[in-house]
Amino acid sequence: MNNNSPFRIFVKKFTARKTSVAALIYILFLLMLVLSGEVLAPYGAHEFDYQSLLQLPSARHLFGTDEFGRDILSRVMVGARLSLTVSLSAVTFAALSGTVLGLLSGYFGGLPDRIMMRICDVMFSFPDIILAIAIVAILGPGLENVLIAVAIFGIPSFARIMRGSMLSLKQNLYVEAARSIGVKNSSIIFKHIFPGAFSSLIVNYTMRIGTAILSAASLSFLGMGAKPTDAEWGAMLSTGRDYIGRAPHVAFFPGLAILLTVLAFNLLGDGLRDALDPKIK
Amino acid sequence: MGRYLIKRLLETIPLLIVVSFVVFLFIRLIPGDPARLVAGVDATIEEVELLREYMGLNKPILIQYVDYIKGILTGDLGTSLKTGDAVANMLLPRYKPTILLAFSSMGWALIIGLTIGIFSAVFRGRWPDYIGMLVAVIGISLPSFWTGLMLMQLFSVNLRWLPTGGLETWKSFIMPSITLGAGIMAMIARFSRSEMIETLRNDYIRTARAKGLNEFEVITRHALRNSMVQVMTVIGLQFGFLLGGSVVVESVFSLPGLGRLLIDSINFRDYTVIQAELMIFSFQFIMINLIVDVLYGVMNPKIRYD
Amino acid sequence: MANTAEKILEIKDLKIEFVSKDSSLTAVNGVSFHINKGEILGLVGESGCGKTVTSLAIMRLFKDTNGKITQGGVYFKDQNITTVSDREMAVMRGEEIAMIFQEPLTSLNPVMRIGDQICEVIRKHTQKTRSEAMEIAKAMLMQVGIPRAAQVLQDYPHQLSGGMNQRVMIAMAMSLNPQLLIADEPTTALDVTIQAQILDLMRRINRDHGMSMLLITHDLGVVAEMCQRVIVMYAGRIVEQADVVDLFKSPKHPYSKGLIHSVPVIGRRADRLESIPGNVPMLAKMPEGCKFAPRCKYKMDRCEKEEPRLFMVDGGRQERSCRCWLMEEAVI
Repeated sequence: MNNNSPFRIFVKKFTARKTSVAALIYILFLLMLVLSGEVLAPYGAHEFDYQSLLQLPSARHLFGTDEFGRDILSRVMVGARLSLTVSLSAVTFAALSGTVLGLLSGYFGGLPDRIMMRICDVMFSFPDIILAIAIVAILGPGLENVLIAVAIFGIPSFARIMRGSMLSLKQNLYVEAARSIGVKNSSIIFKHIFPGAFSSLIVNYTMRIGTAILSAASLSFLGMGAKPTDAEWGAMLSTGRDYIGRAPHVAFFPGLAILLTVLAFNLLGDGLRDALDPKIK
Repeated sequence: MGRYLIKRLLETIPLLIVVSFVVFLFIRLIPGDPARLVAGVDATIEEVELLREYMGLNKPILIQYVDYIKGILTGDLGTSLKTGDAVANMLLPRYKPTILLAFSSMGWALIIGLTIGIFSAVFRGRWPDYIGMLVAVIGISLPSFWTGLMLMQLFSVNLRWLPTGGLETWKSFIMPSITLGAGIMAMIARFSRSEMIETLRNDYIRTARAKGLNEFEVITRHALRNSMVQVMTVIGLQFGFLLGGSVVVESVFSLPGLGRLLIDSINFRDYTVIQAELMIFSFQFIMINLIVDVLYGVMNPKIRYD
Repeated sequence: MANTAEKILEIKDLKIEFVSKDSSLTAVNGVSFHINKGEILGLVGESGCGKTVTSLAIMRLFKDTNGKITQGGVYFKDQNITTVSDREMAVMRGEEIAMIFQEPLTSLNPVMRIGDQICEVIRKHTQKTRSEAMEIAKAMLMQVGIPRAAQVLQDYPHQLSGGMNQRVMIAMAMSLNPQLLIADEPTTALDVTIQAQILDLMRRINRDHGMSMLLITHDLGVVAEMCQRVIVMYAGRIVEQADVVDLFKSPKHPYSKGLIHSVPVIGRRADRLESIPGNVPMLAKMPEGCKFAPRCKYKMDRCEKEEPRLFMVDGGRQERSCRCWLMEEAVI
């Protein structure tokens, strides 16, 4: 492989940014945490300890304990799994459906395209959270429904972006050329046009994971997502709220975990976007 | 310009109609029986049926919809299932805190966000840029409920400078507006930076320098004006985030605004209120986008004169 | 123009580099020339030869690019303006030296009215009020041949044609009566008929106001019409300097020969279009020795090893030089 293959250039540009690399390392660490299950947590997430309620961080409990004596560090670790699985699944679903819808809509145009755009317009008329709340209101509380809500409200953004890429790439001469020699439509869409749209897809995907984590946590905080006893970051904050003043650490650590994780995904998204941008050296 | 305005209005009206219908349908999808809710647990089946008839819930959906629209146009948004008050009366007093929160958040988000964005663009690649963008990326990653709680801990509990919630004085708005404004400030900073950089790449910037203007003049008289036209559109979108974010922030700080009402009414299954709230949120958002579009048209002479 | 002509601009040994984090590219190397008062000097070359970069260096318009003058100096009326402060330079821009660019539409601010843009330069350098400045602006627009000047003052650039916009640029450049006008490909983006009008206008300004001009172009036709002397650049270096008639009648440098002979002449039969084989070398991969050698018909061994210096050449109507080993015998 010569020194200037697109992949090499991409890696070089990406690694030049220290923040992106740090973000990637953090995310990989989180993924490892998630995949290893509850093995790494020092205590069980539901392990009550009535002797040590609401204890401040100490050597035994690095993040302190909550109102039931549960170790917050362990719960935060378990919460990582919940947050990441919900957001990754939701965004992946939204990306897949949105991409297919957007590409097809942009490629074929006509009435289906206009209808799809109107539907997106309607969905965009609501701020994200409101839409998620509305969906959860219909489906009922619970983390699974939060997943569905986040997945659904993510679809229009992917659809719009991919449709936009499709419209601009469609103009290119190589598409005309391919069509004129009789290449099948599906082939054109997926083999010729999609690779060009790929970078916007990846960047949007990464950014949306941050949004998804925040939305899911917000919904849990408002009492519409995970049960308050679940070791989910948003839920932990909602109970931690009652102890502001007395035991701020209960709310502090889960919130910090949310901040760092979303930050990592956003930095990763920024790094990817700049590394994939041909205009930036 | 007139043509542009009319065109946008014509596009908006069908959208409003469709959205109102969607919200209407939505509410009917929420599980639960409003008649039973109002009648209470002890009511008999006949009583519930009577109530349902009285509430007009047995009429065909479309008729119900038309009735509802007629109601909106006359200012009647139905009655709360929980309290029996006219929904319109419930909503009105809640407007004030939400609007005050929205404007104060947007206000300082704009000031700080634009400043950071412009400085980052002008000093691109140097440390003001790195710091500015680091602040911005943290800003968009902050969970608002955490920020709110932490601010509360610091300023209300530890320092005792600010009240924890409620609506007593203007001080009650400081922490909520900081909390809500943080994310928006960050987005404005990021976007105005990239717009500014794009604008500075243009030929007319070089011409301005060739005329002997100093950097400050170049930036304020040429670059800013042109970037702002684009930044306007982003600001409009941010109002959408404001509306959504107000739900969480009002909860955290116990502000009696529209956002908090939405949560309360969902918890109580107060369908009429939920319906009115969703309608309001979406209409506001659509209207704001329309206004932003029109403003964009006014500021961009190409659209103005065509 | 005799040798006693006063020099309005002199460039000595100018070297311009583009510096980035890990590399630096030399765009212009060892360029020296001068412009006499009242003359139109042509700067010719293909895209990428460094002519635009050189012109930007005169007014130090390198902000927002990586360009830096790393050697040599620019002397305006005998003053070294490469080293003056930014503020002093800003005073000179527009007032003593003015510049017009290739794309008039994008070189004007799209959301500012024409009148305001012209007033801006007037009021920056003088104490005139807004209405006084507008009067001057109107007068300038009329001078450059724009009808309905009062109306145009209120217009936005996109409402005018390319030719009108370029006239506006010229009006704006002239409004403070600068002594030197730098015109970077002023007619390249315009229709041929409009091109002729703009060139006429510029010639008239040169004649009536005695304004010296540096005319940068890749179009030899423009050079023939407008310039008294010509400089040919290649790969960031001057390869030939001559009076315009001399250059067209008997070009000395192989590159100049190639350029002149590649322009088909109407009325003369030719079997094939002549062109110069090969491409302009990339900044990052400059060949050793003479930069033109890889494409040169007359290439000798020496050319590939040693870069020729600029030899003065005898017998020109004006001072003449050529950067080619073939000229060594013709050294004065």
